[in-house]
Amino acid sequence: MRHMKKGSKLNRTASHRRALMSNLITGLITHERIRTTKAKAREVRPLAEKMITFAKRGDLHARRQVLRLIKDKEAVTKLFDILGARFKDRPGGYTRILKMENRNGDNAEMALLELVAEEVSKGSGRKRRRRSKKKTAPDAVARAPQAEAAGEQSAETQAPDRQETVAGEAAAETETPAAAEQQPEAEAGEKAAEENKQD
Amino acid sequence: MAVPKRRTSKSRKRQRRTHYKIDSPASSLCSNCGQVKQPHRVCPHCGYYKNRVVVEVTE
Ligand SMILES: [Zn+2]
Repeated sequence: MRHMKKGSKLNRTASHRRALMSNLITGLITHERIRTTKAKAREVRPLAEKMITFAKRGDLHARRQVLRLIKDKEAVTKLFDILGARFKDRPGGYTRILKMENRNGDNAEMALLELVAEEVSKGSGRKRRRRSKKKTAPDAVARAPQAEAAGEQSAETQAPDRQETVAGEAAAETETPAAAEQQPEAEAGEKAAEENKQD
Repeated sequence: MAVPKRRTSKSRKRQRRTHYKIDSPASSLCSNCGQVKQPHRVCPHCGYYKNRVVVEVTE
C-alpha cells in the first residue's frame, strides 16, 4: 500500500531518479533558475532546499553529504561559498516555483524553479512602500519600466557572482570564513548604492 | 450473476451521456498587458507574473 508514501517516482528507476535530481539541482545552483516540468520542479524543490541548508552549515561533513548527491564540484563550491552566505538569514524557503504555459508537443505543465533573490526582493519591497507614500494610485504602465529595470539589475548583479565562482575557486579553500562573509556584504552595499542612483 | 434485464435504449444512453462534458480552461487577464492568460501562470505574452518580469517572451 502507498500509505504515507509521498512524492512521484516520475516514471523512473531509483538510480535514474537520483541522477535526474542531481542534474536538476546542479543546474539550479549554476544558473539560479531552471525551466522544467511542474512535476519535476515539485520533486526537486525540497531536496534543493536541503542542499542549501547543508551549505549554510558549511562544515566539511555537510560538504561531503552534499557531494553524495551533487557530483559537480564547481557547483558545490558555489553552493557553499556564495549561496550559503546569501541565504544565511533566511529561515528556509530558498526557492520559488512559478507555473508557466504548458509545453508545446506533449502539453506538459511547465514551471520555473528559481532561487529567491533575497536582496532584490527586499529592495523592491522598500521601493514599493516608498512609492506608495508618494503616489496614492501608481498605474501599471508606470510600474512596468521600473520593474524591468529591477530585472536587469538582478541579472547584472548575478553575473559578477558567477565569475567570482570560477576565479575564486582556487582561493576558496584557503579563504577564512570571515573573508567569505565580508564579500557578499560589500556587494550588497554596492547594490544598494546602485538602487539609490537609479531612484 | 447479475445481468441487465433490458438492453439500454438509445434514448437512455444519450440521456446519460448529456453529462459527459469538457470544461474550457480557466482564464484571466494579465495585470501587465491585459491579454487573456491562464490564472496563476506566468503571462506567455509579456513574461510578467505578480508585477515582475520573469524574462523570456521571445516566442
Ligand atoms: Zn501579460
